[in-house]
Amino acid sequence: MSANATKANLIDALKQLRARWSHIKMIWQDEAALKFEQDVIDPLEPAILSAARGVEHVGELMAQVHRECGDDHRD
Amino acid sequence: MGTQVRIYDRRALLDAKAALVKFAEQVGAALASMDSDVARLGQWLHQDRPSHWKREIRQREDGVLAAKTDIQRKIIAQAPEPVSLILERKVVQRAQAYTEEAKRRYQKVKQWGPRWERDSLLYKTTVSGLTDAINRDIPLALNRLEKMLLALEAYERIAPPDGGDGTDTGVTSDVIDIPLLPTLAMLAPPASIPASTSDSPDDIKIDYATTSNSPPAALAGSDHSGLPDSPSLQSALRSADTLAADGQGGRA
Repeated sequence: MSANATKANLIDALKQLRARWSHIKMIWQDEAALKFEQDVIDPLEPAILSAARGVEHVGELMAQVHRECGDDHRD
Repeated sequence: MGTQVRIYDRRALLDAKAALVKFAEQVGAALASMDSDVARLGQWLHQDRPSHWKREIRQREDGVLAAKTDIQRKIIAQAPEPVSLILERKVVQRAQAYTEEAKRRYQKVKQWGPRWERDSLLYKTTVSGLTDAINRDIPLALNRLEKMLLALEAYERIAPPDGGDGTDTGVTSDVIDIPLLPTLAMLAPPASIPASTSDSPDDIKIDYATTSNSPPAALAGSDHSGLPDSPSLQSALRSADTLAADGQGGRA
């Protein structure tokens, strides 16, 4: 799986979770739900974004390593 | 503080569990794949590339030598006549350029080896928050949801929402709007959940005076025969007995 695909999967997982949570919130409305969202759901977003940035960066480095250390193309 | 649990459908908790499980699976698979790619590149840099470029340098140097030998052979073969060596010299130059390129790449491999170690560690640091969430926080959250479900289930068994004969447990009832009974003290997060939040379910106090709901009669008596024998339920019953006694005292 390429870094781009990994990054896309991470973002997609977050979007899906957010969408499902929005639906869940329609039928679970109390302080426990709010607290659960604050404790569990909300912290996942910065974690995903940080990881996505890390994946993107390491993906760029991997491409650079392949360019510089991989086989050259002889005529 | 008067607090009510307001869950219109217990499927909400099941859906939350399913959503978190799917999220953890998706993220776990993505991170595992990336970790594998990072580790594989490290192996490639440390094990495959050095020997590959050393071999290439040797072979290309042999190519340069062969091209030069061709020139000498042609000079000798044509002697004493002058010969055109334009093509042969181009071949030599090209072979030398290939050799230099191999040497450059070998140097790059040597530079990238230790650098990749640092960069891969840096990568692991940037994803560590998410890794912790997947390996620690989400399992704790699932445990928390499971306890909520058990508490709700125990409450539903002893306090049918329609106030009927107890046969309708309302497992998939449309509305469960109940005061936060001691049973739901189990909603409290596990001890390892960050304690920074001040309003944890443990802190939630039941204030029957501010809610129209009073403790179900089934909870308030000492005769609990016929009720399911579950630890959560027994805990709820004990707490309800205490509360009922306190409540009567307060009203009196």
